[in-house]
Amino acid sequence: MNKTKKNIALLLLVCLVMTVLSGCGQSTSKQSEAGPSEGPEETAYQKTITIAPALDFVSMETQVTTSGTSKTVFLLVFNTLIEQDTERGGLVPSLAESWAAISDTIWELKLRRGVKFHDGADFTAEDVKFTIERGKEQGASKAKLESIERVEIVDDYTVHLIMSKPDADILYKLTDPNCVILSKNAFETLSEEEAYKIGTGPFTYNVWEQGDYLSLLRFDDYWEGPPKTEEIVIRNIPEAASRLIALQTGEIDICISPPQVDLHYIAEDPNLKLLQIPGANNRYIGINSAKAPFNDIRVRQAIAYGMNRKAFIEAVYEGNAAEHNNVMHPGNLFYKEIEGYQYDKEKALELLAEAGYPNGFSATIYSSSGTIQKTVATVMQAQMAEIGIKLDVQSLETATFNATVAPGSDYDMCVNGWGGYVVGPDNALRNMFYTGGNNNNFGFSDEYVDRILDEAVTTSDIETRKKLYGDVQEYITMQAVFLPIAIEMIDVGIKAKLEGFVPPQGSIHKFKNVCIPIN
Amino acid sequence: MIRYVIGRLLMLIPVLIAVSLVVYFIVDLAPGDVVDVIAPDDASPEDKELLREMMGLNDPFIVRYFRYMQGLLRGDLGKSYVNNRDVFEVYFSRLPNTLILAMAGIFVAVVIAVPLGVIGAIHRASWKDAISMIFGLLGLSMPNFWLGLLLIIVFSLKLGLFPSYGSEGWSSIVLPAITIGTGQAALIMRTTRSSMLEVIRQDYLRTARAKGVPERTVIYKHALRNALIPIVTVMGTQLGVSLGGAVFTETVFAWPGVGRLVVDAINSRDIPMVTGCLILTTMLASFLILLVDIAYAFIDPRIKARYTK
Amino acid sequence: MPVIQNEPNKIAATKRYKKRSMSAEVWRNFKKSKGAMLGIIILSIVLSACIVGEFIYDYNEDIVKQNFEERLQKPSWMHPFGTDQYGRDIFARILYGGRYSFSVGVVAMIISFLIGSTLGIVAGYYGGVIENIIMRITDVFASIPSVLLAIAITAAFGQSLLVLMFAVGLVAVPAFCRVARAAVLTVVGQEYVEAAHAAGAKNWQILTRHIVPNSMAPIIVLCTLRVAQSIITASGLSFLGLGVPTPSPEWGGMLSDGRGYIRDYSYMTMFPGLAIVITVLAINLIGDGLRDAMDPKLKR
Repeated sequence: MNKTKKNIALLLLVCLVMTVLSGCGQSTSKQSEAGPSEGPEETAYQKTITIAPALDFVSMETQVTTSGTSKTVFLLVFNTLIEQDTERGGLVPSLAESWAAISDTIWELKLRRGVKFHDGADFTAEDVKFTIERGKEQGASKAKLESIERVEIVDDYTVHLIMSKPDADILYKLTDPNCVILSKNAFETLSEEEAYKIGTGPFTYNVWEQGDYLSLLRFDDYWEGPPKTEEIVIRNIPEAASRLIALQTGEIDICISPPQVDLHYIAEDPNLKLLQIPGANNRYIGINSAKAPFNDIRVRQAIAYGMNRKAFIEAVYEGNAAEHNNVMHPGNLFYKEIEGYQYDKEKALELLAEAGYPNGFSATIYSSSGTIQKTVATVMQAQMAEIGIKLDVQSLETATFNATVAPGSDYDMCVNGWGGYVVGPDNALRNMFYTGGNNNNFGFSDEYVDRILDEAVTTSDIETRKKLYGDVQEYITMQAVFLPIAIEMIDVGIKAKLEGFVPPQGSIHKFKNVCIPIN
Repeated sequence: MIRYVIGRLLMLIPVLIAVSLVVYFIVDLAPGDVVDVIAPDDASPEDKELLREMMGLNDPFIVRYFRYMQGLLRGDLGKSYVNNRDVFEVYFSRLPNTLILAMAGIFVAVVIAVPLGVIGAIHRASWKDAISMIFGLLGLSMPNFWLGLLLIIVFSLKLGLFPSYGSEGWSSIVLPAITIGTGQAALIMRTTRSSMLEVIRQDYLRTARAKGVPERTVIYKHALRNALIPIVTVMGTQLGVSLGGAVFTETVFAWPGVGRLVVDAINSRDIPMVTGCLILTTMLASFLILLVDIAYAFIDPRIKARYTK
Repeated sequence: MPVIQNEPNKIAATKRYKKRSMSAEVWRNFKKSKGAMLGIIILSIVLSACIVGEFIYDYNEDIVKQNFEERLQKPSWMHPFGTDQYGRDIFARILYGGRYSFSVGVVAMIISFLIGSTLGIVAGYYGGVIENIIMRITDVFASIPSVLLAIAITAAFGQSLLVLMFAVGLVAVPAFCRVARAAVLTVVGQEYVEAAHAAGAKNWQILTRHIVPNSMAPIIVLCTLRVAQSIITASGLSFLGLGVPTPSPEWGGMLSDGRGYIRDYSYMTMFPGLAIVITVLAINLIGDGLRDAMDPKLKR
């Protein structure tokens, strides 16, 4: 366990050092203020950077889509009010220069002056009000903006967010790409499709050939100064092996999620660099505790004791992931180191016998059709066979999978992942474990958990909160409805000369400063 | 002749309506809907319900289908559930890629298949026949995606000859075209072989030989030319097939064609996109077959006679 | 409709005799085809290997049990085809997995054969409105690209061996329907059929005694080729994650699961891939041999 934690810390350190060394991140604005035509000393940069993510860019509708690649692009074309500093941690200003809580339910935001939209219009308080109030009604942004009742314009560059209830996580929620600031003017004068293309970010939409590529061009009037890279191309290469080959042959500059087993090719290649960042995703086996025999905690404990995480790490991740024993993500401020369940076959068999299943039983485990999910299910199947539980694996595509394991449905077990810690501790636990929570597909309902979560979110003293969240995460872990396996790595292969890569925010990459100096 | 063409076109209308019904129904039958795909992790069940209501997904199947058909009759194929883009536009932005790949594939297939078929026919039932048959069938007997991956590893990674993905420049089409073409070669080879077998024993060839025309000329000039009609027909239908059927090749080579578009749409339960694309594909394939038939009718007087009376 | 009148003087009574001689002739022609003979030899070897595999391996112990000490081992005497990422012996899985691939191919063929040729024979024999209805429905299914249709069907009914067989089988129904109809049309006009009509035979008697046996040749060829094609289509569906559920060692599934390891551990895909290629090639060769042998136009 300790070792796990150390591994994560070490990796974090490694990627921190790498990004500091590459050093393009912070200095961008200063350098570019000097202007590109300063003199002959100025470094030249590769004109186009091509990025191949694992999944395709699917939609320009910032407030509607949940696709990770689309959200990555939104951070290039738009700005949020507040940004997460993924290198040093904490929040940094973006379109909002400063923020302060006037009361429990009122936040005052001072907005940045001199920011231009891609159509040349000025950014003002009107746009903030428009974006937030529109976003409250849209599919993806709703969950983030819900707690804001309305936006009051104090003057052109000051707004008040009037909250319907205290929300300790609101600032984090505003950093989500679904909450990027749209242009009120554009939505009033253009069609919706066109209006969604107008942002304040460092790049503008150029060409989108759906399923093929998306090209973004540098925005010269960007408020932080124009980026060094003229064009960013997001390439759709669905097959992981092909994606890595494209990086090796030099056809692309950034390859996200190359095949786990082939990572050594990047490490061995002097022209390439492998970045491994502990991701937001906590991979777990979910159990439907509302259903027999899983309503018996001994059965769930038996399953938890029957899981050998080492085997998962080997077979699923080729060693590229850290074992994990807690429902909470180690990146969360309120994470507590706990023992959890450790592999113990004898104990598992004992518990099963006690629960009245000395010969085991049969059940179905669902997974999505992704390679990782399917492999996890296959390993789980073999491990459960060892303790007499015969699992049937059903790999479904996303739509069917989500519908099959939705809260309240009648499944047995599933392979799932959860990365919700990024938007605060309450979000991380409440969605999953509060009675009737939005993601509580475990049929889990525990009076103690509900009480502590309610208490913790209204407590302002950080030490008390730490204690409460610490207790409750240990308690939930031991309930064995969410059987954590590993914190997954985000693997990224880049050209060795590439600068300006910063760690992603959850699974959303921040590419606005990437550049490759030539000569 | 014109009446025949118009008749065929009119016959297409009920087929297209039926295709839309079948496709709409099958995709609708699948468990889960688009909301299960596009709703964020932290959306509450009520939010999802609201979204379904807004998108009209809660209406019974018949109501939704008729609403869709109303749009269709006005020539509106609808908008994608996933990104609200116009289905017609998206389809036609992908179509050129598919057409290019389909034609390049046929080209490769013909280059492989016709000589093999001719060899097979001349040396019928000999070892040469068997070997040419094996070569011709090899592509058909090999899972497409595997061949594609092997080609990428050898020709783009190891030898660096061709790009591994994409649809830009002539060189990027070579590997995908080989992948598709080898798979289609078998059918063309079979047709060439049996068509040649028929022609080869005709009297006029015997006459030509008797007159001292060299064997090569007899085969390639006289025999092959006369065996061409069925070969061209098969090429036409193959072209129609690859309009929607190149999914595996498109995935391996990241080739932005129509097949991949439909598969993605099926997986995200994007019913308007799936239905729209398949209606358009059916239309195009039918036109293609119609063109082949018309050409056939012009070449073959017996068929022409049947439709001109 | 052009009718091939090659045996104008046959009557129903002598048909039995004629049939035997025909199949003998087909066999004679078939034997001459070197490719077909090669196909038969290869297929028998593959099939007997799979049958042996059936007896020597235990499903739970040898096929699905994971062994992490032995994962990703290159081919050796212990593991002739190496081991996969779960430490399972690939040789054993391929021998044992043949049953899945063959059954997908054969069952899918039987499904499309039963539905397709029945419809085709009925359409060809009765003609008129029935024919029109059947053939228009066939047109609809034929005009949807078959791979996409199969994908949609597997998405709709979930992932299982049965659904896979059904999806792969259903897409070939139009082909059987069309071939069967065309074959029937060439027979219907024959004089012995007319004679049977005149002799007062009932429709079903004519169908079962004369029409079906005499229009079987092209259907049999199609059956063989469809077995081959179904195995390929099934492997493609596995590639998209819609194949036989794990841990069943179906060849297409093994090939598709191994593709993540194709660069360092190419044997993981090489052997299942070769198993498919060799088997499907053999079946295709047999099919082409049959086609050649049965083609009346090619009689010498």
